[in-house]
Amino acid sequence: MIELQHVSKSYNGKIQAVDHIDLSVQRGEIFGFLGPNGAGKTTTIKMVTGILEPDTGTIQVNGHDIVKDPIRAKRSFGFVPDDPNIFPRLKAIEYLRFIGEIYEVEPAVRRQRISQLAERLGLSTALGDRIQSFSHGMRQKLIIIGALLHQPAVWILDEPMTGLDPKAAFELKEMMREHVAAGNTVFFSTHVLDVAEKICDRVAIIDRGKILLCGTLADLRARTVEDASLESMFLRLVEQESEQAVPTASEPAARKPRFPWGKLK
Amino acid sequence: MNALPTLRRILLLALAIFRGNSFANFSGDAQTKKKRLSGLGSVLLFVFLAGYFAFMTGGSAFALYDLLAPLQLQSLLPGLYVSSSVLVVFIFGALYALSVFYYASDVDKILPLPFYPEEVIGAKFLVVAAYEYLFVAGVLLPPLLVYGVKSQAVWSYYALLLGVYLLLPLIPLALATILTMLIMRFTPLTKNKDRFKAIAGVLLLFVSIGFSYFSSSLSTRSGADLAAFFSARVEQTARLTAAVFPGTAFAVGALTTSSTPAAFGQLALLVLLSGMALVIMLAAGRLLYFKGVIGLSTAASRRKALSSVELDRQLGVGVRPHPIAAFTIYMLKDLRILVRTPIFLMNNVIMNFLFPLFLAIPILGAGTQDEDIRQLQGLVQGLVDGTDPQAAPLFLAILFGLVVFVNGTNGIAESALSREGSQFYIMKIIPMSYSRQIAAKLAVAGALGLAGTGISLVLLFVFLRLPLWFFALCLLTIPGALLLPNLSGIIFELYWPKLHWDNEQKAVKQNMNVLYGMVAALIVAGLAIAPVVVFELSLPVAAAVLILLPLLLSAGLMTLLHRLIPARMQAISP
Repeated sequence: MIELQHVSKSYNGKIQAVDHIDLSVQRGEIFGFLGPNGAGKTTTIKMVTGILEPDTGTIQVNGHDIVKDPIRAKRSFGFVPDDPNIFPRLKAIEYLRFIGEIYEVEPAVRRQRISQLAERLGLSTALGDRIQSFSHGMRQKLIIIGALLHQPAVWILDEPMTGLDPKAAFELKEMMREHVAAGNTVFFSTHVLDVAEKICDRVAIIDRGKILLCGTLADLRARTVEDASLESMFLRLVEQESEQAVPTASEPAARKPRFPWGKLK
Repeated sequence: MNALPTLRRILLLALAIFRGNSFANFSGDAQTKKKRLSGLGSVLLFVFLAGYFAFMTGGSAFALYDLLAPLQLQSLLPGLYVSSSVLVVFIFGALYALSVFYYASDVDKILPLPFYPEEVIGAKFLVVAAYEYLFVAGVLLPPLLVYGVKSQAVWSYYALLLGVYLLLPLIPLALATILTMLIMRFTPLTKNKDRFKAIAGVLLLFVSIGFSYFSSSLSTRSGADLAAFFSARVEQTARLTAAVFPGTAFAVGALTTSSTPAAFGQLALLVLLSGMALVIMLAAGRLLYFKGVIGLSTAASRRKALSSVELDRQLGVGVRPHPIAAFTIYMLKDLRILVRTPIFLMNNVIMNFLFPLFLAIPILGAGTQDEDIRQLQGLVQGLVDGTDPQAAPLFLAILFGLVVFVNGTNGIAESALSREGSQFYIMKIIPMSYSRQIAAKLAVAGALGLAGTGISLVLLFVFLRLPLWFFALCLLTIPGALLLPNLSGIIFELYWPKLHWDNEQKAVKQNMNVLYGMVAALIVAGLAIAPVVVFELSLPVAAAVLILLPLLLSAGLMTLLHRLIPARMQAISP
């Protein structure tokens, strides 16, 4: 459903945000994309969604190349960004109509889905209000409704739990599970390792633009330490990566790079 | 509370607020070459506009002095310009105070900081005062410098003028601030802040139109008429402003008696009154400011579920699917944002309708005695009765130029991408081609441009009683006149969109593309009129040139855009 091959992105030709990554996300799985701040998660997601163009490599979403066949690729995903900043002067219902028309969702179908999703996320009474009157969490919920309106094959979320109340966060996790149960794919980035541990079928850990680890939690445990939590695996990997990146007097820069899974196995 | 630490904190806060605007960025932390260039552009634009403004006001004083001197009324000039400045400071000050004290994006950042209300008011007052000083430098200084030179004033006049310039804005601005604080504290007007800002903006526009009408009618008066006008109106206005804004009379007195020691006494009284005004304002700020500003950033909402019928209607249930529904809804989205965002409404939409009125004011204000007006009337007469073969082609070219100019200056196409700001990413993720999205934005610019210029043209034809065949001919020139400025505006946006802003104002008011659009429109308007005048083109040739050439050029621009859009849109990083 999502295929990244040798994808790289640098900013101003200097900062290597994403460094030749390969990633394959399959149909019917919830895939968690983890990493510390500035690791390259959002840049990767921006490339997958067509907001940024990769310097090298190819990205396919639902079999469509995001650069060569952008419209078909964009039709097949729904996106929830990390900053729910959307047309504050529109009413929520106007925004959803806009999304419905752009994604060509039949009026009766969009009516039914909006009612259902708004009810579920507790937004029914706010649909007639302007988005500028919404809290961060309410905007997040509205974007979630918009992203699911056309029942996309791939649902991409960037830090989706931020700003959501516990009930909405629970509903969102349920919705992710339902989405993959219907044969679709969910790809999301998060800092909340607990969430990733509970709902992800597979995860990838990215740091400094490189994928450090990718696999199921069982795979990761087999490669690292048995019975370790995702949090401890994550911290250990990221710490190790930082040690390599900042050479000290005792660890000169010429030291050979270590691959976490090779070393930790 | 100790006054000195408070003053230091006020200055610190004012400095921090200043750093949030473009001039400060230019001089301070402009990190990139692009930012520096943009800052330099803003400064150049400001210098150009200030120079132009100073030239206009100084020039009007020059002409008025020569008119009034034979009547021994020239000493009324300081009163006229001081009163005008005080009124301008008060009106603009109230609106500045509204936006800087209450609706600025920094309010929510400042409120949690440990500042007393009077400290915030003091700092923000300094910010507003800085804008006012710039403005007054254009309204007051050039004409009064001209007055000084023409009346052969001694050095003390110029020293007093400097003092008056520095003190004059303080009292009206303090009063405007107090009035704004009272309104924001005690009236329900502020519940819908967008509507309130829009109404305030429209009021400001009408005040500007009033001033424009007043100055154009003033500059065309002569002789006894002017003397009567001055004695009746100017003195009355000066008396009124002196009564409402204490200190005005001392400012005028200081300037008119500048060669006597009493003039410095008058200035000292102005210093005293200004100081008192500031103290009263700070005290009022302590009582009123926080109660009016807290909670203002949250927008009003009903939180009432939509009925089933309303939901169906809003979502288009029962409406037959239309092949261009996506395009239409995109246009509608853009139009709603334009109309509902006060700053876009003022600068793009309303200006689009009012600009023709601004152009018409010099004509209406000048009256029938003006030479230019007589020429225009002659031109229209020659066109109507067919006696002047050059009248029709020239008038056609002028109207074409007008439509191009209005569409080039409304800034709708020139800020089409910039207005998206941080939401630009939505253009990138939705499954609608970039070309189609840009086409929808162009359609909005075209529709508003057509409405604005269309209404003006119809009024012009009715007012001047032009023949119907000529009206039809004008209509044929409109497609090209609409397309050219809007297409070029989009090209500017594709290269230099201003997406990183924290305040909608920056998307249109500090956007160089709007200026580029204006210059391009001026050039196109000039290029349309020049050949008609220089080569004395006949009506059929002029019509063919004005109808076909812009369309051909537009077709060329469209072809260019077709190639440009995908690459440029891909290159823009939100």
